[in-house]
Amino acid sequence: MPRRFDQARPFFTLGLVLLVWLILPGAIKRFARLSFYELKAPVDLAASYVGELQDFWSQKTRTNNELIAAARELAAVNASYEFRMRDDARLRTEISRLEELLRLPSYGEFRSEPARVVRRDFNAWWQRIIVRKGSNHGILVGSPVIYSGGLAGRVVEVRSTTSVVELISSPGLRLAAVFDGDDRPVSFQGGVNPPLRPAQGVLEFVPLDLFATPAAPRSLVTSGLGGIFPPGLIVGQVVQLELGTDGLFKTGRVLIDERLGRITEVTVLVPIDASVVNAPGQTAP
Amino acid sequence: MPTSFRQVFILCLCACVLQSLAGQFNHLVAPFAITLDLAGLLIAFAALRLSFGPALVVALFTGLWVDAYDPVSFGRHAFLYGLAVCLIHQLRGRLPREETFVCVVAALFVNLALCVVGGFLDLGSLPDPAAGALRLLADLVASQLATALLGPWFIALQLRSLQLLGAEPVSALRRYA
Repeated sequence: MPRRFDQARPFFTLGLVLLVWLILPGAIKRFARLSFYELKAPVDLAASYVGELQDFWSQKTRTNNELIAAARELAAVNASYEFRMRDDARLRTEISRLEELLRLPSYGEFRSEPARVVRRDFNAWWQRIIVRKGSNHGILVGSPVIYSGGLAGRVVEVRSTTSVVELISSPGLRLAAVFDGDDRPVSFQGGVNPPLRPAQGVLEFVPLDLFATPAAPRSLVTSGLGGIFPPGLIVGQVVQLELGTDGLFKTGRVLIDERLGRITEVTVLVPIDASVVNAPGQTAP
Repeated sequence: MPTSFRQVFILCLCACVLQSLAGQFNHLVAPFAITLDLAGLLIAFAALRLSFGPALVVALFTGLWVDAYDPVSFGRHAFLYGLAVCLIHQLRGRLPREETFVCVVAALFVNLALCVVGGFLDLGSLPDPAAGALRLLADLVASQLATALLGPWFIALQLRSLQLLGAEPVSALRRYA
């Protein structure tokens, strides 16, 4: 064999592999991806369960006095939640009454599905988490996901025992939001993730009469328009607004709650009417 | 079982272990907005010590393993790792490739090259490329440090695992003796 070809043989082989891969039917690639994913998922699931076992044994080392103090705190929190639940029921009744009175369409109904975070996968290109519930718990692609700090993101992939959630800090996620107390929609996109600092997002199409500074930030919440996110969920704090290049709108920065980086527990809002997330133009990419 | 099959099996298993450990570490340090990518270590040993066929299989399997979770076209990392194996395989004749130091340096160069390629391909798609580049640089520095620190251990792990299963690659000195 000529020496020149011998030297190029590795690249020729790789080219051949690439060619075969390119002409391979999409179904086979999807099957291969799914297989690799399901092969990999138990590793992270096992690590997550081991972590919980570690927590359990570390909690066992607590003294009775510490446990009594924790129970007392928990009782106070429970009392506060009970009050809020009663208030919530009252407000729901009020909303239904007003909807009937004003003949307004009711908001989409969701079923809450709490889920533990198995893995946080944050880098410059994407910000995703894997949660420990999947199609076996009825999770649907496109479902909104919330956490203690507000909106966390949306489900982009659902497997049998796990689901992948794209966070609001990911560049792939755009949504229509409004300033708290204002009803004009603005465009939010995640994706500014500087090192050693909390994630940020970018705002576009902000009306000129809105202002926000680091000293006087404004809350940004979901608008409920053109998507699956229910209105009123906190997205972040707008800390900077400046005139855009076109002069017609402002652009700005949104500081996302730093708890998103430490997220361990989320709630998936699974729409009771599955067509809400499966409607054309509303499915996750 | 043929030796090359055992070599591929063991190195793929080691790569999966390292990848899982890196994933767990990234999970823990996520609040600090830093990510480790040990791609170079996953393939450097295979590219330097195995013959081309098994090394390419290890790179393709490892790449697909990485691609399974990542929101990129399935096969992208596999192709990039395969390309890195081809390049290292071309150069390895001129290197003392059985030295751990050489293996670690090869891993560092692979990390750097993959970071540069990633930057060229995707940096423009970020809403703030400057902040993205800064994050990419910080991740690269952390990854290079981790590669340099973990490299000798991981190379030893691969070598000892191969020895344990009687699939140690033939050394260049023995081959030409």
